[in-house]
Amino acid sequence: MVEQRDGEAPSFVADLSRLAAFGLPNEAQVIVEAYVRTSSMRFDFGTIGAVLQPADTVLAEIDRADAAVSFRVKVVDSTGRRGRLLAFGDQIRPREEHDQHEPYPILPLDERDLGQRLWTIEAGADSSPRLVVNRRVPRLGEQIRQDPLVQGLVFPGAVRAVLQYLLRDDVNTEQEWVGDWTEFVESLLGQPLDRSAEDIDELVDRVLEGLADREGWVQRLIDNTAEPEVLDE
Amino acid sequence: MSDPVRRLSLAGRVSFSEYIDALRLDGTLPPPLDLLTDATKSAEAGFPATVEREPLGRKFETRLEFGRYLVDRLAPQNRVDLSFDIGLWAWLALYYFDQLCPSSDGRRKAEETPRYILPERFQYTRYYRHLVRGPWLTCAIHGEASRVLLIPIRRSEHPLASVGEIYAQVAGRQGVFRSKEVVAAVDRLYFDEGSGRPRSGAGGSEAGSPRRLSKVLKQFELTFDLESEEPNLITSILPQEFSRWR
Repeated sequence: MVEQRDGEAPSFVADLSRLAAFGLPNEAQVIVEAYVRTSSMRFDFGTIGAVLQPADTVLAEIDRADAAVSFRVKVVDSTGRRGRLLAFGDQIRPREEHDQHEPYPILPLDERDLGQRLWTIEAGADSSPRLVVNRRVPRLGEQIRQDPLVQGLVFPGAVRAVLQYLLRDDVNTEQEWVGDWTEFVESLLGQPLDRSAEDIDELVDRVLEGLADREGWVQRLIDNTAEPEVLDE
Repeated sequence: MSDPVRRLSLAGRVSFSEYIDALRLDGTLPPPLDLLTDATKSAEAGFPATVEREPLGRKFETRLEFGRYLVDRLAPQNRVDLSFDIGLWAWLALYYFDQLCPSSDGRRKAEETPRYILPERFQYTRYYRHLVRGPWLTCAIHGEASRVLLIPIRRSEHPLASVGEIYAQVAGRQGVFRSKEVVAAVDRLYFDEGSGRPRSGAGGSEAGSPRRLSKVLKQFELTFDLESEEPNLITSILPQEFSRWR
């Protein structure tokens, strides 16, 4: 979880208690790296046998430009082949203080200055997709989260863009986000995702139709704008 | 003559930045050195450090010499605090501007502004290119091994005016640049003790070059902790293409 006070560099708290369940050697070193693009900071969390949160986890030397921080966790061999990774977790997104009990969203939302663009999808071969909205537009992020009209206008295009990455031949299907999105798409299709489908456009259209049906944007708008029923006195 | 170190204020940095923009249109404009002591554009650093433009009676011959000198002059200060002191680095860039952006035939050619003035918010990819902070931070972190990053492959008439190819390849990623083991390995691979410079050929993009090393290290990050304090880890895992440098 990342915490931030106005004007100060953020700091983080990491719960690594579940590492103990992986059967890793007690002496193995535990390292947490926070990173934004090519910028990173490294924190020593002790060993598997004695995981210890450092006193100082302020992200003072990490980019504060316009992207969200991610984390990687390394468990490093310190007895056999020193320096070898015994376990490695990457692209770990922090939970905010307010949503630590909520499930992690499949399409995280970032807000930053996008010039004259309202939104964009950031995705790449090695990184999970994110929906980025222009923070210069007042309340746009809030509307994306809550307003069915804005959701209905933005999400189909956003999901279509993610599907284009998801269905690329060069995508690494072992990445966590690919698995999450495949599961999501299959839940909308009601059948396994055929990555080799001949008509990709038709496949994407069916996914978007399933998404619209599930979210019910049109019905929610009708419900929201309907005249209040006048009760007979 | 030594001068007390100061910081350019926001107003001073704006004036300096406007000068750099203007210099791109008219390379004959002289640097606004009055900002260095103008109390409305700069202020005392708050610690007792002094600097000289030519402490050895001549211009700096390498970025290594420059970096070591700055480490020495700024020594008592906290490294992390100093590294984000935007006003300090802007003041030093203006102070050494004649060496960072030298006049040739009466004209100067300004590089991108972050080479002289750091952006207000930390962006690693811009900060590492600063022409004063870069050599200082390299020497502060890596000591003797800094030489491979800060001495150019070929002698340069204006050694402080550009970052150098090996530095550009290695320092572009913070995790690689920060790793003492990686930089020590780069020094072992590419520095020629005989000539006192990186080996000729280390600046290309062919097999075994620092450019290739940067890509290979990225792949190794999935199987090894490159910042592990294990001597010779890096050189022991490099593939055959690097054998000519070992």
